[in-house]
Formats: sequence, C-alpha cells, structure tokens
Amino acid sequence: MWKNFLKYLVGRLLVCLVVIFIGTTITFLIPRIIPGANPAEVAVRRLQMAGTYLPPESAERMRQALLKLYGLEGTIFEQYIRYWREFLRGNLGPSFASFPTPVLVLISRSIPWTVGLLALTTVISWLVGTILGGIAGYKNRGLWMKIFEVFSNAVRPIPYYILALLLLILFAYVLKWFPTGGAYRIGMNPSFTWSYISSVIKHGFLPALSLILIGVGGWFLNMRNLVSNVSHEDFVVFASHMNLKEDIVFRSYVMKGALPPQITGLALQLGMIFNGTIITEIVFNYPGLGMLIYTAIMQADFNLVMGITLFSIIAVAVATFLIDLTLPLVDPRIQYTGK
Amino acid sequence: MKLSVEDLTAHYVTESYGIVKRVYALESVTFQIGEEEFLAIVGESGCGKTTLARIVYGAVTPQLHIVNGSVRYFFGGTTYEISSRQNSVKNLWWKKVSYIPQGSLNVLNPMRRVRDIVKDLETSHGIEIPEEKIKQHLETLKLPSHVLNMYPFELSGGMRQRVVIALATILQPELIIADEPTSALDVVVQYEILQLLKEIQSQRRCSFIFITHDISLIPNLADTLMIMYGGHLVEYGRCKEVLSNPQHPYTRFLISSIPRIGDKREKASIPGYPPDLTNPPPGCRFHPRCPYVKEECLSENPPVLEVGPKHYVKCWLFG
Amino acid sequence: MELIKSAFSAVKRIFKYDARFKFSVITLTCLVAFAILSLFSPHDPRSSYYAPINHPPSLKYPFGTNGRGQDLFWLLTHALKNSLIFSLEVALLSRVVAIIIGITAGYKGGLLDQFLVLLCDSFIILPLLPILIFLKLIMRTMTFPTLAIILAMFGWPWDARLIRSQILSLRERTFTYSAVFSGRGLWSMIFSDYLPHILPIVLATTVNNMLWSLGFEITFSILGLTPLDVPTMGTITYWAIQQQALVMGKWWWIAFPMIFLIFLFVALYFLFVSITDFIDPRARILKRG
Repeated sequence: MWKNFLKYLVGRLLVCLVVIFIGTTITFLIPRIIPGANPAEVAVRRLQMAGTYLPPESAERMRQALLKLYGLEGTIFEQYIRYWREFLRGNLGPSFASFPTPVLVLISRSIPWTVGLLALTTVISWLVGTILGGIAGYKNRGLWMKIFEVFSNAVRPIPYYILALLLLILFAYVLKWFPTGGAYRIGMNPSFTWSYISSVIKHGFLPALSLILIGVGGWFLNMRNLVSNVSHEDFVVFASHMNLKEDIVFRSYVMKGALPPQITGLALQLGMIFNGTIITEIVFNYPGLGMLIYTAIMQADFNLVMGITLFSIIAVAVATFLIDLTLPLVDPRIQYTGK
Repeated sequence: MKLSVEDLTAHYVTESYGIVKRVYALESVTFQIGEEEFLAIVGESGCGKTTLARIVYGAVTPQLHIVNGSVRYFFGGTTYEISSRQNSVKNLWWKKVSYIPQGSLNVLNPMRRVRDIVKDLETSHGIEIPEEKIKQHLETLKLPSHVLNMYPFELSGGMRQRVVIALATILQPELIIADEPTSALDVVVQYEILQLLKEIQSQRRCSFIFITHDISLIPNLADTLMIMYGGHLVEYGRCKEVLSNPQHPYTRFLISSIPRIGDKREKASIPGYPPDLTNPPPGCRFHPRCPYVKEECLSENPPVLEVGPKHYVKCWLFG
Repeated sequence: MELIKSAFSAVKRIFKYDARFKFSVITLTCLVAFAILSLFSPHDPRSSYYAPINHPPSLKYPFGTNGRGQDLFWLLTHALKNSLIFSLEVALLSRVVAIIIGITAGYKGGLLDQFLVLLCDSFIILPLLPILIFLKLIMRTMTFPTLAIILAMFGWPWDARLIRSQILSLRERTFTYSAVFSGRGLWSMIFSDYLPHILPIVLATTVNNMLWSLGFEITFSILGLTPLDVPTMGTITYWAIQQQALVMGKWWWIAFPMIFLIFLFVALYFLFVSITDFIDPRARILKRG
C-alpha cells in the first residue's frame, strides 16, 4: 500500500522536475541561441542608440563586463554548468535597472503580494465554486443555481484582462468606490495597525474580486458536470436504492467521487491562474511579480525578467506538486493502483 | 401472495436534438409471487428482464415510462403500488424489498470502506446493528470479518459480490431481487454464490426473484420459472414442469441448449437475431425465428393460455 | 462521402435544438462578414492621422475616430480579421501537433505513451506568460506570425491528452481488433475508422484553442508587447488605454472593440460548449430524460 503511494509520489515529483528542467533549459538556451539576442550586445546597443557616446574601448569593456555579469562567457557547456551552479546557490544575478540590487531581493519583495492574492483568490473561488457546483449538479433545481450557471457561462470565456479592466473602470473610475491601484495608500508604512490592514484590504479588493469572479465560474461549471456524471455511476444509484439518506449520498458518495478530478483540475490549471494573477496585477498596479516583470521588460532589465521567469516556473511546478500530494488523501484508490 | 404484477407495459422514451426514440421494453407482463417462493426469470440480453426488475423494485428512472399496468406489494395488510401514477414503494426499499443489481462489481463506493457503508445503512435506516451481528452475517456468506476494514477495490470479484449480497440481506427483507448476480464471476464462484442464495432464501423464508440469461443454472434452484423474450412473458410455470415439459418454441430451444454429460448431439442455434425493441416485429415478437410460425403469428399478439396446472404459454400454437 | 452527409444533418439538428449553437453560428457569421468588409477598406490599416482626431460616432464615421486619426469602423474590420486569422493559425498548427502526439501516445502505449504523457503534463503546468514576456525581451520584435508559432508550440498538450484518451477507448473496441487482425494498415484504419470519432473532439478543441490564443493575443497586445501598428483587437485596446480613453471621456475607443470582443468570446465559447454537449451522448440524453 505504501509502496503504491510512493510510486505515485515519485511519478508526480518526476513531472515537477521535468517541468523545472524544461523551463530552465528554455530560459537558458533562448538568449544564447537566437542570433542577435545576446543581452550584453543588446544592452550596449541600447545605450548607443539612446545617444550616449561610448568610445570604442569603453564600449568593449562594458560589453565584457556585461558578458561576465550575465554569465555569457565561455563555451555553452561552461555556461550551462555555471548557470546551474549559481541557480542552485540562489544567485540570480543583479538587476540591471536597479543595479546592484540582486534580482532575488526584488523578487522577494514582490512575492508576498502575489502569493497572497493568488492563494486567497484561488482558495476562495475553488471552494465556493466546488461546493455550489456540487449542489447544482446533484439537485439540479433552484432558480439561484440557474442564475449562477448563466453568470458563470457568461464570464468564463472572458480573458482576465478584460474583466479586470471592466471592474477597474466601473468601480474605480465611474463609481469611485475603490482606489485605482497600488497595494496600500501611498506613504503608508507596513505595520500591524488597523489603518494599514484596512488599506491593504481596500486596495486588494478589486484585483481579488476580478480573479475570484472568473475563477468561481469555471470551478462551478466543472464541478457541476463532474457531479452530474458521478450521480449516474453505479455506486451512487446503488446507494439510493439502499435508501441511504440523501445528505449521506451527497457528501460521502457523490462529492467524494467528484473531488479527485476537481483537485486534479486545480493542479493542471495553476499555471493559467498564475498568468491571470500577473495580468490582474498589471491592470491594478499591484506590486507583485506581475508589476515587477512588466516594469522589468519596459526597462529591458534582462536579469530581472529571466529571474522572474525562472522563479515563476519553479513556483508553479512546486505548487502543482503540493496540490498533487493532497490527492491520495482524498482518493484511497491511489494507494491501491499508484495512479 | 406477496407480489402481483398485472399487465405491465413499459417503454423507454428518450429525446435528443429533436429525435425521439422509443424502446418497447415490456409488454403485458403478468405474474405473482407468493410467500417463500423462488422465482427465476430467464431470457437473453435485451429481453426486458432488467427493466422488469427495475420496475418491480420501483426504481423507475425518468426515461422509463410505465404505460400500463401495475406492480403491487402486499405486506402486513397494506398494499403498496407502483404504476404510471404512483410509486409508494420507496419507503420499503431495503427493509422489505432489496435489489441486487446487474454488474455488482462497481456497485460499492470505491472511496468507502465496507464498514462505513454498513454504518451509512445504519444511520439512514435509523437502526443499530451490533458488531457481532454484522460479523455473524458476513460469516454466513463465507466472508472473513476483516473485509469490513477494506476498500471495495481490495476485494476480489467474488468477495465483492458477496458483500453486495450481505448488504442486501442484512436488514432481513421479505423479497430479494437479484439481477444476474453471478454473470461476471468464474464458474466455481458462481456455483458457491448460487448455493448461498438458495440457503438465504430457505433460511430466511423470504421470496426471491432470480434473473439470469443462463438457463443451465436453474434446475434445482427455483420453484417457479418464467421465460421472457422480446419484452414478453412467453412461458411461466412450476420450474420442474417447464423444464421437463417446455411448450413454447423458444423455451424448447433454450432447454435443448443446456449441456448434459454424455450428450454428444449437435445443438441447433436459433436462426435469426433478437428483436430490435425500438421497432419490434408485429404480432408475436418471436415469429421471425420460429420454426412453427403460422399466419396469426405475423399480425396478432398471441394470448396467454393455460396448458397445464399453473403452466402458462403465450403462443398461437395452443390457441 | 457519408461522413459529410451525416455531419451536415447533425449540424442542422444542433442548430435547431440548441439555442447556444444558434446564437454562436449567427454571431460568428456576422463577425466574419464584418471582418471580410476589411477587404473593402478605403484606408491602409497601418496609416494614421488621415481623419479628424477624437470624433465621436457620426454618420461619416460610424464608430468615431481615435486619437491617432483613424476611422474606428474600418480599423475594427481589420482588427477583427487579423485577430481571427491569428487565432485560426494557432489553432490549426497546434491541432497538427496535438493529433500526432495524441494518436501516437494513445495507440502505441507502453513507454512511448508514458513519456509523451509526461511531456504533456509538463507543458501544461508551465506558466506561459512569464515565458512569453521573456521571449519578447530576447527577440526584441515579436511579430504576429512568430507569436502564433510560439503559442502553437505550447497550445497542444490539453488537446493531445483529450485525443489520447479518445484513442485509448477506441483501441479497445472490437472494430479495432478486427481491423488489425485483417491486416489493415495503421494509418488507413485511423483515417477511415477512427476519424468519425476523433473529428468532433478535434473540432471542439480547435474552437477552445482559438479562445485561448485569442486571449493571449489580446493580453500580450494590451501589454504593448506586439507590433502596435498592426491593427488587432488587442492593439486597438492598447491604444485606447494608452491614450487614456476613459479619462478623456472618449468612450467609443474602448466601447466598440470591447463589445465586439465580448460577442466574439461568448460566441466561440457557446460554440465549444454546444459541440461538446453534442459529442457526449450521456449528457445529451440525460438532459432531456
């Protein structure tokens, strides 16, 4: 039994590692393979195009310094080794635009905001959507459920950006109920005071709302379909034949049957939810990873963009793995078949 | 008398994207079951026996329409009826009547241990069964008591089947309906389960409906035998009588197909195909395959005729 | 071919009985017609400042003009056309990969299958936006065809999985065994026997993929990371936001593109849902039953 659980664990860990490997290799190879993409050259050329006069020797020295900075010296093989060595040490290099602040420091300042937003909204939308979807799929009646279904269907196809923009326009510009951006009022210092916390809540409300609205619709529809299918499975029909109480059937038979694929769905969609969070941050000027990478690319800060990309890949892979780990708790069959 | 089915006619009606499909699953089925009676219903796939079982149990899904007739239960002075207008049997489910469905292998919740399923039963029916009784009950079905702690997927097919039978009998119902309880099992286990069922029936003194497509299981098992074909009841009578003196051409084919030790004769198979119940042949539904077909068979439904003591046949040969 | 005839009658039936399908077909036809209008546009889509700036909608300029002196009506026809073509490109390209991988994994099984599934799962998990932003930084100019190819390289895993599971179930059916044992070639069997079963799924996933790639195009353009002189639904919105359309009260810059966008997305989504419902027979019958 434990052997099978281990088999499952190793399988999912393998996926996690492959994702990290593919992601980091892409991030490594692309700048080195595409002609003319050498960041050192690009940086120097940018300066020259901006009108800065650089005598040839200074330009050359700058190029060399940048090459070293970006780890682009030596053969590809040497670079790859160095890449992994620094990576495992946690050294992602310094930011170009905010030189010499290390990229990792900048990322660590933004993480709490992104993680907070992402975790909170994902948990809320997944839970609410799953529970409501379960009820709607099993009972299939009720006007409220129908309304919710129509709403979910309407919101689901709309991309994160459009909805965030709509909310911003409606609530921040037109109605002026909420601030138009930022994580807290300008000039405030992070502290445990109520005024700070309430400011954070006020500023975070719209971005969170936008993410929750889209998310909850999707989870609702997904769970509703799953539950509807499970309701017709042999063991559920048999349970009703046994005249088991309806709420027992709903909780322990139907919901339990539909939960594993719903959890798997969460694991698979985490990457997309992450994308959505980034976009929402940009719309709302929320100081998370989204804003960071947006300003980074505007400033052509190579190290920062690469660092954030790497970090995102790893974070999503690990988070997915953690969600995968909850599956055996919900589905005892994994201990049996290891799948 | 415990159960009376009168002139039961039922169709499946489905509609999708404008196409309506109607399956003429059961036509004018009539029979009764008395106290401690073991009835076997035999017929090939698609003859309507599972539909009959479902309606008898009262598990009428939305697509299944009772067009005519009724099913009546008589328990302790009260009559419960299932017909197109009402279904008052639900309160009897599992306590007075239980249903062992076809394909029992997937019928147990894979996420719940057997012990928890029993607990669900206890909670839902408002009773408490002491652990000892549960273990005793399992023992009568030759199940070790540690089965209680296991998940269904950890059990073999035969064990799962026995767990289902245990669940269906633990509340001591007076009528048990078993739909092909042994079809997915290997022959040895099949035999054991059959013996078990017979024991339960005689010990508990309950009535039993046993549905199968395999007529070779029936000798020495049932009191009454009912043969179904194409949604119709074609022959009905005491088991020994029907087996030794089959009247309907279809029954004769079925019985001649039972392998007997030492019998080296070539077996004839019935020519033709089972009827398509969305568009059944007019008149007697067996007529396209019947070697004795007459003119009446082509256009008119044969009447039910008594050909012996409590021995009925639906065939124009006797009319 | 019989396939075409039965497909045609199925489409007629769905149209009649599924309101969502009706809505999406009608809406999409209108949108495509609008996009085709771009062929008659009197202005070069890339040119600007040929019309008076910031004119509200009027008879001469039905959708008004924007801050860059462009007629919004004709601009929108080009934008719609480009966005539609873009998403179709991505969808079709990724179909090819999805089908090849899905069929190979589903049919061959064994180690190859496990490897491909591992690959699929890994690609699904990758968060695409940061990677795209990184690529844009490296490549300096990200043209739309390039973006299409990149998206196609990442857009196949979901659908490959779906096709694979469909193939898995088909493989166990008896007609496969009879085909194999009678010596039928693999590809001829796949074409004539499996195709009717796979085609609906491929169609559904194509629509889904269009939705997905459209979302990415718009997002990426709004971030300002695509060639901004090429009119697409995304770039129009970018310019509207850039030039503070709302703050300045020029609602028509944002309103018209957004209305079109919402119709496009909802229509595609309804198309996807109605096709998927039709494919799944259990969902069909149970809903009515």
